[in-house]
Amino acid sequence: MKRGWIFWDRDELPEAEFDRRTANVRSAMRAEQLDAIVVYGDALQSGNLSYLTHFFPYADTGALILPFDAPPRLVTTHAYRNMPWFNTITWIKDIVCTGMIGPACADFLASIGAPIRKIGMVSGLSLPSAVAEAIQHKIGCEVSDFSAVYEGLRIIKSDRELAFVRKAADIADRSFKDLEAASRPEMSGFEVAAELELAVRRRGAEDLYCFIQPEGSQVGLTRPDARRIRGFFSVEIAVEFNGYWAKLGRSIFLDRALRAKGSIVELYAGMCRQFLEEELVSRSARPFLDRLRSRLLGDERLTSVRLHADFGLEPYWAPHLLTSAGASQRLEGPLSFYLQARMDLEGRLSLLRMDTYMVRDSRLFLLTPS
Amino acid sequence: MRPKSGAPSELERRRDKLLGALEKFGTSDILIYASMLRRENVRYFTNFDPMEPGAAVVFSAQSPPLLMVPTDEEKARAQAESWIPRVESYEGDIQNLPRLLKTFPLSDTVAIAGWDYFPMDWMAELRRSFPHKTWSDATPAVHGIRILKTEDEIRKIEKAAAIADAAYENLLLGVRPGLKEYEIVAEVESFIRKSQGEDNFQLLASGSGDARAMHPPTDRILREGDLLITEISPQVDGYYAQICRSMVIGEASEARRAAYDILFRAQQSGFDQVRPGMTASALAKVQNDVFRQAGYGEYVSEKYTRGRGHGIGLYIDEEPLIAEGNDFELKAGMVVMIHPNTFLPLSGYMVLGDPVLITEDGGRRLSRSRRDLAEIKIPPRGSR
Repeated sequence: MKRGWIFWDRDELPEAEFDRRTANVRSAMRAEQLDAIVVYGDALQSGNLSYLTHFFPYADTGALILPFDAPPRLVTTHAYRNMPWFNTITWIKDIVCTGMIGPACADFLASIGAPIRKIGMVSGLSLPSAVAEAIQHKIGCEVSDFSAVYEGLRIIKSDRELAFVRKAADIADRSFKDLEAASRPEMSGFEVAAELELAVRRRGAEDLYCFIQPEGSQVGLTRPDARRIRGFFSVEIAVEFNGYWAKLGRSIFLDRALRAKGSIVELYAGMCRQFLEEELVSRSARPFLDRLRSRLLGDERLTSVRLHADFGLEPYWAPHLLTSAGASQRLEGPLSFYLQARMDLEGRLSLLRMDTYMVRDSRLFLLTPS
Repeated sequence: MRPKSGAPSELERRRDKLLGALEKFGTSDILIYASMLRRENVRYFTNFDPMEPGAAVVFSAQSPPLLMVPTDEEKARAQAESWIPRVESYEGDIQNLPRLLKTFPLSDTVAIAGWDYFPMDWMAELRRSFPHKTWSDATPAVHGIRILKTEDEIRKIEKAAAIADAAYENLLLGVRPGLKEYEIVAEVESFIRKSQGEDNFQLLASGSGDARAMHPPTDRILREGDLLITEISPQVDGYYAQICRSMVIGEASEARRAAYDILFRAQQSGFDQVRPGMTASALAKVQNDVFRQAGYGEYVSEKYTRGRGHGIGLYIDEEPLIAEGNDFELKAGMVVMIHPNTFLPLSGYMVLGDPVLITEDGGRRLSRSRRDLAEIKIPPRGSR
């Protein structure tokens, strides 16, 4: 649940930006012959919802009902007493607090007056069946999954969105340097998290995720815990600023004797960057990754190379670019993405290098240079 | 490997109890679903805390359990954390779910726990692949078991409460004019991690007292004379505890002291009178009556307050809501928050809340930190 700084600066993100996004979504709705869409979100998966509303259900759930030709309504399970705070973060004027999202959506759709023949649902995994069924039961219309089309629109970023991604990346990068300076042998996973919580949140971040993999762990990145870290650990940080996320992954060598081994992942990171600069801009995701793999996977220690789509408004669970709406998207920008390279050394050191990149005006920018 | 939160025998006992409770739902099979936000039911029965959305465990009287997770990485974590012998990845494709479930002799009716957040695409896939089966909501069966805490669970909540207490004492030492609200949260979050809290949920509000509710922090800068209210909710080994506290930056006015006195007496009334057999409504009423007797009866409505508490455990806000009109019967072994947080015209919105274990002898507060209206001493100007 979110407990960082959530705000809306109308100069940085004017209402006109939401008008533009809404118009784009409605154009896509017209192509799909949708009379309305319902965009659902909760405290941990709010990206689709906040894209059109700048509303973040920090501990509960919410949904936007966007008719094709009528003003939208936002419904949320947060209490009505929070309305003054809601009004500081969202441009939506029509907000209803309810215990039952589905019936509240259905009631609104029924009240519009215009015939509703087909509704698009957005949010894939997090959209509850009970919400869709309440709408279908009352409206009796066809329901389709509009998520892929909607998320395809989100991949391409405006300059304003990229500025927030840059800021999130800057917080992640500087906070990682703080962590690196504070790291010491025998610190626990909780102590790693404590350093990051302080560094990230006092810089004004909205939210933070931190996963680590200590030396010898065979189960990949996990939530920090009380185990003491000896010579080495890998850490993945996701930082949200004003709704937009950046990610960074690094390996930290606490034992000097191990440090030389880290140079190999840095070598790969450098190769990835160089390859990105040479090849990415004019290519779509699939041939790019295929070529990257063929060049790098000769080394069997390199266990994975992943390129994650960054919809900008989701921390984890960003789909792999090859299986997402971005698979056929030419990576010319403006957009941002994460590139992750992992390799295992000697069965006990899981090396990680993950960075956030931005493509704008056909140029590539590394946003996490630390 | 994450420390186990319960021996397999305890987790199997939970499973068996659940299967016994399914009879009245007309089935012997249940699928317990975990969304990213609501993972607690899966964790309760498996000891596995998913890191990716879309995990589910299936229990049946006829077969060994099956834990389904979305990726191979998640499978490795689940195998390390859970007691379930069979863990399968559906490789990020829900069309693989039926293949896994068809290895399982499911009865004609299958119960689902987590119905309110069970996703649309899962339900569509299950109905398409098993057209003759009925899927029904059995979430109450899970809640009915989880709501009664064992001694081990109570110890974890007490540990979380001790971290909340320590975080509050630390906050009192560090809070001062000039801090931004989000900087306060940064300090608390960091302190809780250092104290081995795996998560935390914190809301706050500061200012003259005109807030009607707490919210995530803003960039507002604390000033002398401000009222600062907050709730701190650390999580330890899955279990949350929560305390709600009110502070004044500087000296409290008579009006604020008078308002806080009513709030304090309302909470004390709840502590003193809570007992097994009482309804949630009655527990709310004994708190609300203190406001009524003080002449502020209109401020116990939803417009000014949410409720007088709620259950707490593996999720921050569980059944029952302590509110008038809720006839839910309280029992020994339940842990509830007692928090008569209310807006009063005397003072603005003030908060005071603590977790309480209901025992045969009454309520036992699980937190220990001071409950007064804290006054934050401001250093003389020259020494700041």
